[in-house]
Amino acid sequence: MVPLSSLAQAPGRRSTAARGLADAVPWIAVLSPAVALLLYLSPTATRWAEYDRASIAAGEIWRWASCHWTHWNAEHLLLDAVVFGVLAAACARRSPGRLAAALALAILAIPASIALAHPEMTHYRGLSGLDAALFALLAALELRESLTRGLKLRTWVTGSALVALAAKVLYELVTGDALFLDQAAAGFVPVPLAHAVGGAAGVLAALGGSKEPP
Amino acid sequence: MRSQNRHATHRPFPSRAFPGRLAQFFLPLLLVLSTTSPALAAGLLISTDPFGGVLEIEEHSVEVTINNGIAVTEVTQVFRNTENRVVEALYTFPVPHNASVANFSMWIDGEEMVGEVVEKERARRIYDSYKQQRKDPGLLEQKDYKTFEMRIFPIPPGAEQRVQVAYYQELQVDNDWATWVYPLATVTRPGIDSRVHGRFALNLDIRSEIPILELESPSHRDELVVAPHSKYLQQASLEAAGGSLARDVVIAYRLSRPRTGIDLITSNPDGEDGYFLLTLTTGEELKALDRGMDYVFVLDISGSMDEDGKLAQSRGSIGAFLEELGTEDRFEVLTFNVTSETLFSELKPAEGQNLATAQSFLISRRAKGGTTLRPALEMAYGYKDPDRPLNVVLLSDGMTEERERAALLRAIEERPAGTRVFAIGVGNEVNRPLLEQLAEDAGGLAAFLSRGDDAQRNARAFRRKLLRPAASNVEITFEGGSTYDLTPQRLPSLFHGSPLRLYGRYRNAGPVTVRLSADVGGERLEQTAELVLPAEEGDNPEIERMWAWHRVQRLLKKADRTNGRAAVKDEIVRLGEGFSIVTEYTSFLVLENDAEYRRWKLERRNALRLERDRRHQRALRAEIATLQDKARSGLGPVVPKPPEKIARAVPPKFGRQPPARRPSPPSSQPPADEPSRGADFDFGGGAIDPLTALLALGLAGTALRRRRR
Repeated sequence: MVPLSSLAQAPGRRSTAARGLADAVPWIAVLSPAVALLLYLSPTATRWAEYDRASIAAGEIWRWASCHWTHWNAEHLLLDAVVFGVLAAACARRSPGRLAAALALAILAIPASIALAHPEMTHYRGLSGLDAALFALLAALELRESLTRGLKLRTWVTGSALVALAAKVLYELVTGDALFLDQAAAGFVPVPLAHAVGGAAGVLAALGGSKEPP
Repeated sequence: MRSQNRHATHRPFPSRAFPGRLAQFFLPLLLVLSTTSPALAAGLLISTDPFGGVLEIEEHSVEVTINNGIAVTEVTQVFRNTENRVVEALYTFPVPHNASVANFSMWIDGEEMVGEVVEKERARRIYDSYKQQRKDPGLLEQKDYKTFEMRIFPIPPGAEQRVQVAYYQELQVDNDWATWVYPLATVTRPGIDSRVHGRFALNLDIRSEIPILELESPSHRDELVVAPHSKYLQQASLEAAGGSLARDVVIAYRLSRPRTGIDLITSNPDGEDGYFLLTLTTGEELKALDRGMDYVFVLDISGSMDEDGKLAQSRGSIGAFLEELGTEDRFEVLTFNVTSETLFSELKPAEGQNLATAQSFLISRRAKGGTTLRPALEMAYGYKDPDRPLNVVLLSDGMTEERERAALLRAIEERPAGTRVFAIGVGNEVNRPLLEQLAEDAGGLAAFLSRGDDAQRNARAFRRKLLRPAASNVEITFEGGSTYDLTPQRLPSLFHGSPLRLYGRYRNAGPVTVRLSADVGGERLEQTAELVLPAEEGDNPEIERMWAWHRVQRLLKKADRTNGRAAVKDEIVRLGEGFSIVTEYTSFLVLENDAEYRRWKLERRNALRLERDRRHQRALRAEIATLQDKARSGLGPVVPKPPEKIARAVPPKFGRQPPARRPSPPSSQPPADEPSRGADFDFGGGAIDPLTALLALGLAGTALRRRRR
């Protein structure tokens, strides 16, 4: 894990809002997994926060955002939370503003896509859609920078990572099967669409807006 | 029916009746032959006069329509009197598990006369009054929990008699396999020739909201022809000309609901509140428990298990079950008749030598003596280890002493915590009510093995259910719809592969929120689903009778526990007459014509209900015929058709996919042309797999390291 102090000292020119966010970034990297853990420890809180189509329709709209921090089991939580913490720390160092944009986009777009494309899906939990957004954001930022600087090896490595993520998500979307994951043992149905939408949100956040020095 | 009185006196056999003398001579021989040749049939028409004799079965056809797990079986049989005299005959037929006799028709002067359900004593009085007049009433009564009888008279020499019985039943679903059994091998009267001399034909249509993945016959694998018209509508047929059908016809089909959820079918007849059947089914996402368990197999080796190959079948089942155990499991085998005997006297791991020893032990057991089950069960409880769940698997025909029943139920109630009792009824002669009650009271399940069933598949199914997390303390509540009269009132535990069915009625059509809560894996799970109760629905009339039949069963069970049958009799009669169900307090009465029904002020409720049910079945068959035509049109040389004919073609309602021998894997999406009335409890999740996590961490690590530099 990256020391919190180093994250607070992330370099670059930033707006006041971005600078404010930068101060909070270390907390995002730590707080998110902590919130996910706390929710997991309380089944009542988890049920209160999960995506529940019927309850959202009945007006409990906070579930739209809070569902990302709820999980089905400990394994599910562990991988999602660790990946989130590390990726969020890395993204915060690269660009806190784009991190905020990617997260905001993904938080709203993932439940919307599930509601539209999976009307049969009554419940959803998991941070991995946001993980996919951070993964795509970081890879795209790295790719952009390496292309600008003409760093071939880095271009190849980060480009490959981005392509691998896209290929995996595409395969899962087409086949409906999860790659590298035992669906029966997972205890829930993986939703590749969440990763696709999260990834798209990350790429959009990396490419959109004003140019930011690497 | 004067002859019935005459025969009832058992007057001496007249010496001039040669056929009767012949019958007397050949009867013992016939008895011997019939025990060696297992040619049996479901419904039997037996001459009741002292000369004996069985009428030949000229034709035997069975039409089955299965609508979302409720089977309507219509059996039509044509008998011929081969005796050179008028005979009176007794029609006797077995009814399968959970079946409710819903119609009896007999043909009088070439016309079908449909019976009506009447309070039992009144039906008997009406019937008796006709006996003096040589008219043709018929009376169908429940003889015991599985056998029904009806008398028919007169059948002239050489004449044919056509009868039709219809019964409704909920199919038993195990490990996603729904099984329909036609009890050909059940003996209602020992020692009679019931070989079908003419044609035996069986046609079965299945309609399901849950995709049907496979359809097969474990008993008649090669003879059954399957036409899978779509994932939701399939057909099977079996035909044998002049053949001997020695075993039950068992047809099984596999359903798969990819995700845990509920399915709803409704019936809303004019001028009445609606009926619904809600089915809760576990999906594939429920996680298996992989911890070891303890099993005590309690095998009945009393004398009754010697009949019909029950003991051999039980041995085979335990053997198959033992093979399915994991090495972390422990087991013991215990046999009982009036005394009990154990194999190891301790729990042993399910491996190598222990399994072989168990097989030898089972082979050495012989069936003899009476049945005293309670001490055996109590002995099985003694194996309870505080740290491990104990499953007591009882294999028996349930033919225990009647006086032991109350003590047995007490023993079930007093079982140690963490102990479940699973009852497996073996053979066709089995005391289903007792075994079901034992399993229900003990938080387990009852399953029934018919002759011809697949022991290995059943063992696998049972094992899987034991492993899968059962949802307990299941509660389903409704918001909206003004539902009432739900049955069962206390929901049983939910096992993997065995749906939980809830019947009920509703006053108001429209949206309804169904809330499910249950204990799953130590956690209280709560889910909701939005469904719609329609204002008009005529596709599922079967559920009305099944709802009423369940109510009757519940009332009987409640009465038996409180010894208060008198308190429930009126309600059972009301339900029986209103929904045309034969019970211990209601009988089917067939009169000669409509005028006779009017004379006795008997409403033609069953005739009206039957007409409605048949209309629905005809509509379903018409849909199948359309699908068959469509399938046929794709075969053979391509003949160009005029464009206007193609434009007029109406797509079949159930034409979700072209006919194929092997349906494609299930989809969780509802069919495009059929609005789904079910709802998945879809537990979706965004899950990062380990490989992607590794890639992400690598990427992040590289970026962080570079930034730090």
